[in-house]
Amino acid sequence: MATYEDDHNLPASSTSLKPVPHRPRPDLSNFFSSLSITPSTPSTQSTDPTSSASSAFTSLARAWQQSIEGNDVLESLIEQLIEEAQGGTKVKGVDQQFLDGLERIPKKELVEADICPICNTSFLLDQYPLVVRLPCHKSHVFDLECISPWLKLHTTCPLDRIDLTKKKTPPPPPVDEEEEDWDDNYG
Amino acid sequence: MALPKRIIKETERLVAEPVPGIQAIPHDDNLRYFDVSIHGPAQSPYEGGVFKLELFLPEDYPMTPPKIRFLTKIYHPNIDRLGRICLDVLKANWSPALQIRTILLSIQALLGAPNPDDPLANDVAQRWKEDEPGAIATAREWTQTHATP
Repeated sequence: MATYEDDHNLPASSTSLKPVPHRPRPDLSNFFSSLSITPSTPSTQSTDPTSSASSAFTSLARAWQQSIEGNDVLESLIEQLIEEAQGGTKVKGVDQQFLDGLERIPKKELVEADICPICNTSFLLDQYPLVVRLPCHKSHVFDLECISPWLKLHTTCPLDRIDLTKKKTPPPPPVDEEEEDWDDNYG
Repeated sequence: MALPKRIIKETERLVAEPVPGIQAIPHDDNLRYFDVSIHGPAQSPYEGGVFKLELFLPEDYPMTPPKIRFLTKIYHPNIDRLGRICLDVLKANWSPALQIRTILLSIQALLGAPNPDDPLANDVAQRWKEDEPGAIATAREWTQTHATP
């Protein structure tokens, strides 16, 4: 049988979770006894009921604390989770500058049969197509709108998985003058 | 939210030009949820079986892969007992240029070429490596018992 760890691709170390025979549990008896004692004490009327309740909860918290202390398994699990959570933030795509610098394809170079591999729609269905070419291959052409959300999270081309950040840097962003020309054509 | 055009196009094409041996039908009340059936490839221990799967397109599809699971019990080193599939293109190697049909083809290919070196079902993979004929016989039995319509 595949274990939970196998299914979830966890390191074997966490298997030690299972064999721990007597996992310390918080002792609830203190909690309940302090609850039941409270009403029977003669000073009930004078005592603020909330204070007795809060002390009961404090004792429960203390019991939990004790059960957690010295529990290496739990601690290491927490550490592992924190590590993973932090590692997750490292996964990053390209920056806006990279997207801005991608080669743009003018509308006159596009034909009806050219489709964006992400939305599967002809570029020319859009009256003002914003089409870019990735530096990995001449034919790897996408709607900017489709490729942007992907490249913001990944650095690879959807068609060949080439890491675009490892290749030679893409052509430098067009100078302002060119940008304005381009806007005239398509804006 | 309106269904993205890409999903509509993919669905239309799946229905109009189905992949041989693969069927994917969207639910009427949820067009992101598909009932899938895959025929076991010829020359494989799954030949003759029809395997049911469920497929769901998450909100951010195609930026994230579809979620797919076998509903039919299957004895395969890369499919666990909950029907989850160990396939690179469903996880780290997903690309938005892939489609429902390409993913289903990959799964069909996985049935034809089990990969015990990248297991999800550890016990099955181990048996596959130690006693391949026995494992294949079990896979064939399971196909008979669970996947024959």
